[in-house]
Amino acid sequence: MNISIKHLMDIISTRTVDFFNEEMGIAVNEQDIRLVENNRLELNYLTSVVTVGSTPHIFVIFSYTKNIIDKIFDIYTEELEILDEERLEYVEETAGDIVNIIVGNSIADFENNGIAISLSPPIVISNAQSIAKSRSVKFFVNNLKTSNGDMSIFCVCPNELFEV
Amino acid sequence: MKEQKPTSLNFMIVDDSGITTRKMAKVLEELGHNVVGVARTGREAIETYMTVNPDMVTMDITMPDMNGIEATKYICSEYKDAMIIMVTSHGQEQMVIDAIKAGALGYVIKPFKPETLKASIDRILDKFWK
Repeated sequence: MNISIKHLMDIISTRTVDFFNEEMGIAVNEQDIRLVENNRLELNYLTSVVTVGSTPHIFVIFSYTKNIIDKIFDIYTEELEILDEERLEYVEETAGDIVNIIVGNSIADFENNGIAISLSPPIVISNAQSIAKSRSVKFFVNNLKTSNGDMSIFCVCPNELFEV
Repeated sequence: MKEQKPTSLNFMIVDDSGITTRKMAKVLEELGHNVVGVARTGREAIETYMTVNPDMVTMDITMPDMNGIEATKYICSEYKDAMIIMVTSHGQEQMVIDAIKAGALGYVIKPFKPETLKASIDRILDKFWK
């Protein structure tokens, strides 16, 4: 799979900012893209994950503070009647849908020698505090500050994809 | 082939997201169509298709169990008049080609506006009911 992790991170960041702005009316005020130096990612209130490609996988992780995922949920489901007892499940589905849409749209920008790049169904993690990594992988992060709360985008991949 | 182009179709929605299926059902009903079946995986799509025999299908690609391309390929091989529109976030050109090869007649990228879905449905109807 011919994907540079830095390139992927830049495209996902751009697509996220555009999606929030155009579809959600949420302005991203600050971004901080960098390589994570330590071996642990600190997670927020709710986290959704997809994998991109077959081997090696790249993990793309969106981790939301409560404020921003609640705001996204309200806008994403505004035309639906959601019962109180459905809310938690649908907030989690929203987190999964958003990472799926943004990453799915992002990989449109990659050429992969005539082979479609696969994308896994999203998984959603609640109440997790951190993810630890081994020496063979690296973390890239973009911390976004918005008018409606903060979120982090992480790309996790094998070391060799940093060299592409 | 029917003589008159239908204005109201029976749809099956295939998507692993409950929110997406509800939003899609609302859009289709507002466009004057009926939703006669919903499936959350590729395998469920095949089973439900056999049961409800829809006029048209909206099919996600990224799903657990069996993906939408494989499900489309199977349905189109068994039902030669199947009409399937892929509705997916996956915008890579090669995926569009794979979907068409599998038998899909339309491709709509999420997030979509109702008029985009309507245009895709109309293009398919125009093709078969000229």
